[in-house]
Amino acid sequence: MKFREKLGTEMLIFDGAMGTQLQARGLQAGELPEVWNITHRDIIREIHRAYVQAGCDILKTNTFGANALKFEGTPYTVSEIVQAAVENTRAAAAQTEREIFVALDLGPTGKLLKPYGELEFSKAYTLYREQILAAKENVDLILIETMGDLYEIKAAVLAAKENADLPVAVTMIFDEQEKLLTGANIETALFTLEGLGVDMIGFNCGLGPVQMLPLVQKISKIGSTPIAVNPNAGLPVCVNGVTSYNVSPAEFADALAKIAGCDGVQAVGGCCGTTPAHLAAAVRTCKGIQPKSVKEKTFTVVTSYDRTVYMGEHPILIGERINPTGKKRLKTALLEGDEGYIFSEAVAQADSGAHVLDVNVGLPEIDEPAVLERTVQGLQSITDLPLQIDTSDTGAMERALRIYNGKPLINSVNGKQESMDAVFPLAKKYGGVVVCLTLDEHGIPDSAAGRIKIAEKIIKTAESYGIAKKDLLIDTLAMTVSTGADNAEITLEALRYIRYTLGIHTVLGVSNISFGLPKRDSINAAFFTLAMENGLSAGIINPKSDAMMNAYYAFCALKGMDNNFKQYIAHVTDSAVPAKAETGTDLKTAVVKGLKAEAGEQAKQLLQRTAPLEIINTHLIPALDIVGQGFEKGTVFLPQLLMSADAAKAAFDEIKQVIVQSDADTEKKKDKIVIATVKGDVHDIGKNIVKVLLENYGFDVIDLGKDVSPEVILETAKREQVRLVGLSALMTTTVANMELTIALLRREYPACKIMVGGAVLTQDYAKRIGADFYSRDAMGSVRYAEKLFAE
Amino acid sequence: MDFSEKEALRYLGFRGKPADADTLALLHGVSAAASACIQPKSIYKEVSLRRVTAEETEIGGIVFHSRKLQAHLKDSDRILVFAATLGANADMLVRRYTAENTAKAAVAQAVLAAMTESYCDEICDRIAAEEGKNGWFLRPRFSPGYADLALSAQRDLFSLLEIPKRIGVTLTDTCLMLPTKSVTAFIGLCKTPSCKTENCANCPDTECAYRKEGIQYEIS
Repeated sequence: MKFREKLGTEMLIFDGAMGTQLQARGLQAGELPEVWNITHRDIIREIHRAYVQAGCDILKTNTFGANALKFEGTPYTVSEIVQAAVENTRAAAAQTEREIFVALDLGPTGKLLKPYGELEFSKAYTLYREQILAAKENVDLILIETMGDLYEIKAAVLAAKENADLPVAVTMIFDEQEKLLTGANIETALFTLEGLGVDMIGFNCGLGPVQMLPLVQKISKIGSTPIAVNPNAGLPVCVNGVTSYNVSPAEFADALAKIAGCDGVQAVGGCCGTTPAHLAAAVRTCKGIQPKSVKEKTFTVVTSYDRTVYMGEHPILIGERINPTGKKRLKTALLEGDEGYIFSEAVAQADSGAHVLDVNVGLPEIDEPAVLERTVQGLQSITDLPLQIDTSDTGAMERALRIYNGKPLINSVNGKQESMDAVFPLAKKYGGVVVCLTLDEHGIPDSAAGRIKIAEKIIKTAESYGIAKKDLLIDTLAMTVSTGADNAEITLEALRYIRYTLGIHTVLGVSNISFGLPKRDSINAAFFTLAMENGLSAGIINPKSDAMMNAYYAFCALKGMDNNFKQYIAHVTDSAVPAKAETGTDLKTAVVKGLKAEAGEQAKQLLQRTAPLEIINTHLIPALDIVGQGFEKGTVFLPQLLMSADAAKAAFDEIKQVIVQSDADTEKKKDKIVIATVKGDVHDIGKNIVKVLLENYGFDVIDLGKDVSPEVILETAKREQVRLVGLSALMTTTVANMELTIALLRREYPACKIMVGGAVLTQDYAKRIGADFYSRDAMGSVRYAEKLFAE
Repeated sequence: MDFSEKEALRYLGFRGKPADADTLALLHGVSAAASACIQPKSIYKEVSLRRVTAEETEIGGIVFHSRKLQAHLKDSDRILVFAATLGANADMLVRRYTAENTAKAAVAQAVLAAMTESYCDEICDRIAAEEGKNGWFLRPRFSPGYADLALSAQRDLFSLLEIPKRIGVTLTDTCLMLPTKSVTAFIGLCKTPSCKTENCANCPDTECAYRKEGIQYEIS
């Protein structure tokens, strides 16, 4: 019988620990346990056999860490190790008449994925694929276990689903705060994995069966997928330097039976510290428990890598600001690859109260798939809000969905067959909640009934692709009222029907309603309130608009969605703080004092009567000089220097706004500098500080980021014909890469100067590795650049 | 989480000079946000200790090369391998602030570094209390990269403990730890008391008669 058919018919029992069993048989610390598949076949088979004799149904192959990273430099290939492991497991399984399932066991890679770490998502995928390809013909399922990073799980699941046609089970290691190592809580991990179509979800390792029970109860309440649970034999205790697990077989089995009794639990077994005796006891207490069926839940949720947003509790705010339509400043940022500006838009919307951020980078001039992928990944490195992937290019959509960490909103599909056939397979494969526009081949119906009909068609088609109603958000399309007096009413009527009669969640691009009208905020806010009252689950709005946020908080307060008016009161208190400039503060003072909001405001006012260049030269640069000199003298300290830099940046942003809008290239051609943290180094705070200061002083900084290879630095410096490259490295090990980078630049591009900085560097050291200039602090690099470009 | 404000300010370059009100306000705001997002975790284990030569010490069956480490352990009869981290979200916080406000990012960097130290101290105090019952004293933490113990010793240290699996700290090819707010160390146990902190300049006991002027760490 196939594993999928067996699942749910009886309680299946996983085997117990391999690692601690091997240690008990002499495996040394630092030795790779998977090598024993070849060097100690008999021992491995004996352990598997003991679990078969204990009555287990599923054997895990001894392949937990059998990936290419760990086997580099050993005499074995991954595929040899994996194949030997599968053979050993099969051999043990063959010794009984009972049906035994063999699970290919995949553990964490041992590296952290970007953006937390250095491993590329695609590289993690490749590591897992190699293991899967070696085993897939001879195993019954793939078990991805002891996983602590949701992103790494996604890489493994995609590798499993794309390279084999086998059931996939995922068990994760949560701590006692119910978090994964990279921060995800249970619901976030669950919903993300359900989106990816995993066959079993659950827990292993980290905790004993007693501590694991509440986690199982939680997942059982919200999940719609069969559950697998493999706890340790209690929490690890360190006695005389030896880690051991002290829960006895009988205690373990009794606690495990409580887990097995939870709704949805269909397989249980053991992890670290469990022995064949523990599993034999578990078979006695659990095998007879008839698994309760899994109840399908109807939550409509989107997630980031660590938080979940539920539709329905209160209206959800989707921030619309990351979309270049009609926004010249953002357009420029996208064309110039200025991630900083995009990130600051994200942070500002998050701080204003957005729950989800829309991400649209569609511009005819750019490679949308590449830019969308990069932007989504970048945004997920600075915000934990879920994202709405907004594109009409399905190629771009797929690339973004693939690397998205969590369960995103997908914007959008519409009633055209072509659109549904392109988008639904992606939504099914990667998971997500799809925004469905109620238009089709015949355009946008001008009646509520027409839009409802299209919604029904979309719902039916989604179902045929295996996408449930809970994973759809219907958009009944806000059409500008200035072109039709009924437009708002049509949208609202359709909204009401879909939300309350069809029971499906809804979404609107709220601001569309007011195109062509003056003082759009008033119309938008009134329409937003009407829409929320008529069943709007999520509004795509500008969270930086006071009118919209007032409408939102007032609505929640009136509808009993705001306990004790806490949010409303917090909101009105917050917005009561004047963001306006104090009278009497000029731009120079604002920058010297590090007052960001005031500096921006002052610059805005000055721009009405002063030329941009004059503001820079007579206000900003003198202010920065006062602070810079203070820093050099030791009377101003780093935080103050940076507060001033940020204030100056706010002023520059206002100036840039004007320059972009006038479309005139009035800016003087700026001097370009490439800066980077060298290969292998991930500490980039110093480099980031240097960047802000150099930009303040008018340099055009091309920031290549951290962990940058010498070749990329050379290639960029040559292409951009820069005269100065700045390199940072923190540790002795990475200064070696700085030296290599310098050598390469010297050889291939001798025209440029190189300045260096970083904790372990000294004047002497810098000279020895061939740098032109050693900067002991961030101001040093500004002074050097000024001197160099003045020549 | 508790941490030494003075230490954080020292990382920011104040060197004992009083910080201004703006910096202090920033520091308090950032430390509240940091306390809310960190996931501190630690792991340690006792391993075998054997002196091979004056500069070779066998720890947990692996030979480490460092004269200073051996000197540091001269009175120690036992040794622990130790690792601790504030978790991946600490790095996330600094990245977020970098997008928003550079001053905040620099202050967060300093606050989190000070928190990492306090967290390690807290765990070590707990171990010391336990070991103290049997008359053992903890030596200060000694980490790869200190003195003549090469940073590449991280690889061997990592093979002695299940660090990635248990607390989520990983090692890059260049032997840097990710998440960055992490510490690994050897901790000697001896029967005679010694000062708690390896680097005199880092020691909170400013009145100590043996205090020496040490290196001043700063953000770079």
